Amino acid sequence: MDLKQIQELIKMVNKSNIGELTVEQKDIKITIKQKEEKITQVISAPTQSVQSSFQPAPQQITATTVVTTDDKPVAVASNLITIKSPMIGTFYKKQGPGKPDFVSIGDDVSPGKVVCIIEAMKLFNEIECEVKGKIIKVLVEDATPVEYDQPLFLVEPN
Amino acid sequence: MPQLPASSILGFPFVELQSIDSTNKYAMNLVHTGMASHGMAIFAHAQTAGRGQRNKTWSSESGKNIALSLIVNPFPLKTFENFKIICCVSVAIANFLKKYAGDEIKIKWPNDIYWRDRKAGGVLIENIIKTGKVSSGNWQWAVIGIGININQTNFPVELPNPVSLKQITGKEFNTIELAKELCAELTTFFNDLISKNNNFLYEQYCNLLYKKDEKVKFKKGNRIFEAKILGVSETGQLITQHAIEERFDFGEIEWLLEKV
Repeated sequence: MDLKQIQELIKMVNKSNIGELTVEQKDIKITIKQKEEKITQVISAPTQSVQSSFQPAPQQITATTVVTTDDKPVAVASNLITIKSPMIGTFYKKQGPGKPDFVSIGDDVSPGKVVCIIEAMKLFNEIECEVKGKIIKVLVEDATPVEYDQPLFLVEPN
Repeated sequence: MPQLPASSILGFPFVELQSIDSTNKYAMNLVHTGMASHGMAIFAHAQTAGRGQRNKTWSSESGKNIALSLIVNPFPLKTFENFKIICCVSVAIANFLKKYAGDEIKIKWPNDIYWRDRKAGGVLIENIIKTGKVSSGNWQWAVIGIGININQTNFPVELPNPVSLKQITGKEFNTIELAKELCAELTTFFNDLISKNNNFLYEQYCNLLYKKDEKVKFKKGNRIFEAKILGVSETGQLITQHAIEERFDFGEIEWLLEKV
């Protein structure tokens, strides 16, 4: 098993909801563990070292999800809710050029509130919030590609 | 409990407006205010701010064309099946136009309607998706905006190769009657999409594909290249071949069509 395959495995685990994966071959045994809270991956700085010795390429884990980060890990209430992208596409935070953002940091949101548009295959998808709370963080830049399940917003429920 | 569409007839009720900024915007407002029902059609004789794809406008002479938005409940389709609705709508429009304009009606990937090398119509689909427990989201509504050139014979010069049904056939049409006929066509295809689990619509789409097996110029970033169009994948990617086979998502490449 080479480094690339291990990286692929980490990516796979990271995207899934598997807590732990062990692969055993002739002379090697690898265990990849997810951190308990996915949210902590989002807010932790990419340079932060990862504790587990079983993770050969820790940067891979954070790099896929971290878009905006602070220099040091931020203490965040563990009850934060992540709004994730339901599809692959292009993320837009406003209806069109010159229009206001659907939501900004500090805005209150409630179920049914449109938070962004994701354009996929020439289809324009208005993404509605399902929770009531306050937008704490916008994790993606306007007009950039997003992956399926990629965190878009952090919401503090109320 | 998943909610089944109350009625499978598209185009009922049929709301006729003399003038509106955009039928899609009107329809989206109905959805947002809880006033929408499955099958509702919004027709406008004139659009003052018709919308095309993002950042583009759809211009159309007042009283001469079809500007129609349909509100549908896409259940049980999932968000990742969105190309199916593109197939369904494009194939329905193409079949409808073929009755008048003949077999030279084609679908230009992903969802423009062409006659020979000229654009006769376009589609703009907007969806409402709820995030939540289902990670792929919950597809609540689709608003299908359709613009078709019917009786217009003078077009602004900046439009790339437009054509109307009147220019193709030499005849004048009643736009309301045509729009209702189109709704009937869409009803048939939409019900097929929802009830039958087969590839019929996708196969039809592939059969109607504009420039299939022909060489076309594309632009990707700064690179201009010529490639043969082999087809479209079941998820909606354009499959082309030059030295190697490549697949593109919409937005990755631009068509470079010659002015006719």
